[in-house]
Amino acid sequence: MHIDRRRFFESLGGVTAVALLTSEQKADALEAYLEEELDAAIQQGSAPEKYPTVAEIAERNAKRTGVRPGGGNVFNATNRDGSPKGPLAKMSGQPTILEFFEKRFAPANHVLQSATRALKTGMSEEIVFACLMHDTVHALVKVDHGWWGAQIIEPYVSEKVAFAIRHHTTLRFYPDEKFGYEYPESYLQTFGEDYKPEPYLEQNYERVRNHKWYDLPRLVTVNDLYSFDANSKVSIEPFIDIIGRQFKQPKEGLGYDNSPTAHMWRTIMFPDRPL
Amino acid sequence: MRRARYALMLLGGVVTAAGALGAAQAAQTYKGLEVAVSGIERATNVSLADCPAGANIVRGVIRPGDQMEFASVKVDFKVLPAFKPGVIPKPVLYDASGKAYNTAQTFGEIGSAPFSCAFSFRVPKGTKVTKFALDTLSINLGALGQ
Repeated sequence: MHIDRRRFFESLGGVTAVALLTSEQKADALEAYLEEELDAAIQQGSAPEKYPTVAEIAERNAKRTGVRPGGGNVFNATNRDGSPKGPLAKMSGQPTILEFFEKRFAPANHVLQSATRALKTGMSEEIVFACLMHDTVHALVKVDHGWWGAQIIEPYVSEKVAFAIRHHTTLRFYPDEKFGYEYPESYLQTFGEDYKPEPYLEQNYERVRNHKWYDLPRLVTVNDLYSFDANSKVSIEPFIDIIGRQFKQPKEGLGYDNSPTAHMWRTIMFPDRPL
Repeated sequence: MRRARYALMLLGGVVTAAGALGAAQAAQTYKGLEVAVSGIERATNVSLADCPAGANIVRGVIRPGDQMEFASVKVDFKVLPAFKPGVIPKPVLYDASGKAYNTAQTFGEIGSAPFSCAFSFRVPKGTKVTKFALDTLSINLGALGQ
């Protein structure tokens, strides 16, 4: 993608403002600028002229500072414009899943849009809920997020919901014309044009493809769209009843119920703790 | 080199698309919508936007080396007074053997204005498609150049 240097500097407030940024802030700002340019190109219906290779992405990552791409959002203390995010909202003593949506997962546009789409297209309540939860663990970690995302909610949801979330990340790499799922163009940018899923993903794909619940994670991928109009308005409101039926909220609060994943909820709550 | 390859690939998609346009089919009616297919295009990189265009702006690709392509069916809709908003199922595309192909795209909010959409279906390269179906509505694609 071509970078218009003058436009990029103007987007940051001019040359003087850029000079005040640290190297890390500049790198973040450039990344944000490129993402916005890509979004704009997609909205205009055009495809980018070039996709990076796996090697080029590795080279880019080697020059990064700050949080690595697989790190969770709560560990990134920098806004896209380079400014500090400041303190996180204080959590209550008995936090609910809705409180996590409000104070840690927000804005959560991607999962809200996916769930909204699932709702509008007549998916079952379990699928709608799986869509709502499928990427919320990005607050904690992004790499292998299907496994992490299923694990953290497993004590509180049905086995089918956990299965759907666990395996959606694998199925994202494999088109399925029966379900009308396509390989996302954005993956050419994110993983590289020559990326091939690693053997563990291939093996998991074969297992899941032959599983009686294959349609569950597949329907999550069908609704898991990476490109949405930023102006599209979505809200958690339509899903409150569904959450009530699908998520067994512990009375002690998430993080304090001594469940096998309580520590994961606490980590999302308190990412500033050094130990 | 790679840049040139992709430029050619994208250009190829467009050229193929332009060459594949055929004569528009006679319109049919489905639940208050007048539906007509005006062309079929072949491409490797397509918009998977909702129909009519809405919040979803995702794109799909055929990865290099994959022996598939997208058959994008351009469909024109007119909203008749009898139309009532509701869930409209996804369209399905069929080839000569009766094999069905599904699309990732769905119908969005339909107002009163006419609209056009390109529904894309992943098919093996060169597949001749014969029928575009929308629930009970079926449009023969035989007369369209492919």
